[in-house]
Amino acid sequence: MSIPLYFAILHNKTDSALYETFLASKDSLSAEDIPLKDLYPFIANSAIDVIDNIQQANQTNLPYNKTHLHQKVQDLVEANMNSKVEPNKTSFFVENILVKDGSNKSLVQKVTNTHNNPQNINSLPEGSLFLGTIDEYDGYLVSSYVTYNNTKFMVISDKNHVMNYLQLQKFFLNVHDLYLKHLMNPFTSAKGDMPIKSLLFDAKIKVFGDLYLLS
Amino acid sequence: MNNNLFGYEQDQGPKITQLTELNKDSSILNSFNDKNNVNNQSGTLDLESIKNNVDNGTKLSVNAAKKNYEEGHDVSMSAYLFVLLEFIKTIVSDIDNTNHSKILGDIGHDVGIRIYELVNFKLLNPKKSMSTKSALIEKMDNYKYIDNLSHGSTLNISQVPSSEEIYSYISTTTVELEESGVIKNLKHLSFITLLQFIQDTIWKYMFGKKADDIQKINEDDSSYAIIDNDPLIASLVLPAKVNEFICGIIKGVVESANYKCESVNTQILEDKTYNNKSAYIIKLQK
Amino acid sequence: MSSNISSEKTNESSTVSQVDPDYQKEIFLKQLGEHVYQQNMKKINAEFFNVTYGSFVRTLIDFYDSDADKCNEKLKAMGESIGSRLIDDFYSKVTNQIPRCSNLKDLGNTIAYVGFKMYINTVPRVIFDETNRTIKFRFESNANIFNKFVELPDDIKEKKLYYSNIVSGIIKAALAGIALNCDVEFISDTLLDDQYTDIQISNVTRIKDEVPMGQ
Repeated sequence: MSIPLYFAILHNKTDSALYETFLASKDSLSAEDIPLKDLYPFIANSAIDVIDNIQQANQTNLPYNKTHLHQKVQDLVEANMNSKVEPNKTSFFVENILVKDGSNKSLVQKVTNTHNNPQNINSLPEGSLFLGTIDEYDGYLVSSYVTYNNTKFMVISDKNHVMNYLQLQKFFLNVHDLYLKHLMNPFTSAKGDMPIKSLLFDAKIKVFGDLYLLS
Repeated sequence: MNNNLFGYEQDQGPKITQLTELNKDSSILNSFNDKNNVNNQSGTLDLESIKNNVDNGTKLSVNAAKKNYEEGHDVSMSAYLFVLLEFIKTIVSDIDNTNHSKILGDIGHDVGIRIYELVNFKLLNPKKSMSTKSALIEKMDNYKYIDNLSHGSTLNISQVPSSEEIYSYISTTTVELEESGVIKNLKHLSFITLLQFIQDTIWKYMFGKKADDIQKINEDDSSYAIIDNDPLIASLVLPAKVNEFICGIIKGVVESANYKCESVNTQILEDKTYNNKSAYIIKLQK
Repeated sequence: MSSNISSEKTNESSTVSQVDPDYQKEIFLKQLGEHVYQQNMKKINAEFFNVTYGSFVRTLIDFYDSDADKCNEKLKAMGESIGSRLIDDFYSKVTNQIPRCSNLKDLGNTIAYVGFKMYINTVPRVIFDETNRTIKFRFESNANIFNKFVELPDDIKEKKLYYSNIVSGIIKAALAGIALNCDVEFISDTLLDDQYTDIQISNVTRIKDEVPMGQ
């Protein structure tokens, strides 16, 4: 029994979500039972900055300077509480985010109370597509992979989930293959950020997830 | 805001997947077997042919040619030129007389984005798993799915493959990592390596030969030129229009490599030996 | 697919002592097509061809506001414009080695084994219908190189856009170049969820009595 993994594909220019889903094993909890489920998109969105930093600095080893990230998630959540976030800016389903009653504050407190305990992956080659675990956020680990045209794949898992990096790379690689097939279709707009709606794409991601990440 | 923006109802957040549900949905299972579906097509990772192409230029060995023949990995240049010139003619004469450079550039841009990702992915070094048709795939092919809902019949569960079967089916069609466990790649970290990559690999992939030269134009590192003495697809007619298309491709490649590209222009250079010696000038944003 | 069929047939013909002249001719045409393609044609990457064609077709569809009928018509007209020039190119490349077509079946075989092979490096199956006097070229699943990676959007799929309709125009005009009048049309396409891609030639008639030069 484990908490489902969150997986998202983010567009290279606009950073909006092309595809996102939860990957869960068979006997998993239902949607309502996932703790902080609405927070995942914010974490993913905030980690984009970290990826940009990595790419500019050409460094792939932890630790990165993460203070800005935590600030950013906090800002996003607070801005949402005050309804200041324009939905298109953050690109996720902001208007539905958790907080519509008084329970907000505890969440924010929980969010800001983080522990710096990142898992590390050593010695990735320079310019690697696979970035390993790039960040840790209140027990949620963000692992990422960047394709050549800077489309980002992200998996968020909680710290109790044992992540095998070999399996994770295999998962990302197969998703990359699938994404490439989607991109090669002349009727998917290469510039725009239309979400991926193919049923088979969806099904295949789930099978890959179960094959590589959950077993 | 569009409710279906992410392919699901936004009120409910991201989808929760339970794989047991897959087994109940006949349409998805059907699509696993649908060879015409894009996501099932094999061959994005045909390392053999691209390596042959890159190593030997256009001259392919007999074996490689046979392999290519079976899988249809190359086509004739004349077919390409016929189609390209006809489309350019249509765009210039029918669609837009005044703004055709932009349209051609945009089409090239679309092509460039895809080519960049595709060529890079092909030069990635994971193993291609064996594509031999195993008994299991045969079995998968033989499943008959009953989904003529119009007659009121529902899916016969006993005919649906178990999830184990789906997994093994998938794992025979997936890409495998090499034993080192690291994805080696050619991600381009400096603009010069990107230029060399365009001049060498991408040019070979598209036209079967290298571009002849790279030149730096400005002192301040903002303009570079790729020079091709004898551009293959510009060799017949309309070299200027075809070059606009190629400029679009270069722009697409440079932009998808995450560099800010202001413009790509083309110029036909005067040369005694080559009629169509072309320079593609890339101007970066400062 | 087609290569399997050809190897079967060659085996068969070697075991049977009296070789059917039709088979002999077919094998000769196959070898000729292979030879011409390998020796006389410059090559270009099929995926590059495919992506270029796809982008242009999408532009055309955008221009005609997803009007599939107009697009089909336009593609065919473009094909005809290509075909009238292609027939000259064809004869200059095969350099008089091609045997005269004495009947409809020969014509179909020549187009499939030499014509298709020379230009798009794919050999369709030829289905000859004696009673209706039609020839069908059948591409199995995604053997039609135009179709690789392509998935039509639903609205265009409903309107029956034949994505590679340019081929039918090319065949029609090329045959007109050797004084044969005919109707060429797509009758099914794998992109429209049909099982095969079928191109049909029907109503073949001779334009004039005389046989033109070079045939």
